[in-house]
Amino acid sequence: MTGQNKCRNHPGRDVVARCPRCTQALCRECVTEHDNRMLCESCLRTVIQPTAPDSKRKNVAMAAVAAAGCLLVWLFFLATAQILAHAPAAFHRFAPW
Amino acid sequence: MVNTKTFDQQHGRATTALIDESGQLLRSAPAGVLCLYFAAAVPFTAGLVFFWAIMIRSNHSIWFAAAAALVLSLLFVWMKIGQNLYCCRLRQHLTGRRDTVDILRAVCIQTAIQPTGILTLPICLVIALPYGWACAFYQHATAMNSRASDSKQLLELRQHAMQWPLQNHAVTWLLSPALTIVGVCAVMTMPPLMRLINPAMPLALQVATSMIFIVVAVLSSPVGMLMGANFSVTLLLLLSQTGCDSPIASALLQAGAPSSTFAVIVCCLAYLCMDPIVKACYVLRGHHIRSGVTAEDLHARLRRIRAGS
Repeated sequence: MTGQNKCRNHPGRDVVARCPRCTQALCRECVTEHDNRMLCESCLRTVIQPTAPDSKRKNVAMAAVAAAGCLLVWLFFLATAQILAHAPAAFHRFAPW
Repeated sequence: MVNTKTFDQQHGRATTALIDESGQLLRSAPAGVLCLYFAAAVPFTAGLVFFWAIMIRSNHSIWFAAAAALVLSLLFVWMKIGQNLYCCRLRQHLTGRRDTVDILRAVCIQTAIQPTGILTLPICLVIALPYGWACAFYQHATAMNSRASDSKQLLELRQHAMQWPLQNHAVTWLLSPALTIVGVCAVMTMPPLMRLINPAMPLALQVATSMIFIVVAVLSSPVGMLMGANFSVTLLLLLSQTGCDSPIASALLQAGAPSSTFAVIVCCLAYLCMDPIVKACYVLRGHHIRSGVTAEDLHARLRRIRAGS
């Protein structure tokens, strides 16, 4: 019973919270509030840092959106070039009347 | 209940005060910051002038146009990344905090966000009403710090764009180079378009409609059009000195009247003069908005006092 009332990391200290992810008993020093939950250090690290595949997927998605952005700009300037080439000469000369 | 909020808290700092502050920020910043801006923007504007001058001649192939458009789009991306770095340097100078800039992330974010602006902003301008907010969104996107997460970043950009609309619209009206470009485009294209629609239009009506377009353009962007008029006069004087037979004069004048390439040069010069100030304004605006939540301005002041002592 005593084992459950003492901190996992500090056997001399009383338990103040239990991590909802790993269910370990922890003292005041070993828990941190995150998103209205009291988490232990290792669970907090897992929650905050995205997992490697997640991060990789995000980077790939961002690179794809950036490439799409480049393509959009290129299409815009290509369309501008075609419009300029086919616009009547009157549009390229400032003659208000 | 008594409203204890001051005018600054409700509507943001006065527009003239913000522009003045941005001028002071630019003056106090190291010369390298402004050089960074021009290193980013000048290649694109020069490229745009060459692209325009070449493309108005119809004797080029689609492959040549595609290659030229590719070079110009790369220069556009280069400009946007450079402008983001310029804003980061300005923010560092403002807060006194030496934040590291993740260049690769900044490249990805700016390349993903900014190209949508070349389609969104003209559409917003046609609808007229949301233009100020859309413009603020893209300006804050240029001035943003690329370290936060994507979802948080977009949420913050939206909040910043919606904050203090009076101040935002006043800055956009006074300093937005996009409105100057639209004004010049309207003055250049509308009279020939009307003549094309109605070839038998009387001269008096042509003069009246042209004058209306010029007045509307001046009212929509007074500072930009004034700057454009100054650059036009200077360029015309320079061209009169070089003579009408020179290759530059033949590209800029058509039968004695300014060509569209001339208008593009004027717009680019006005852009290069106005845009660094606009960017500084939005860096300050973002700083003021964030300061209301994080007291960033007090931290910056304390940092300055600590550095001075």
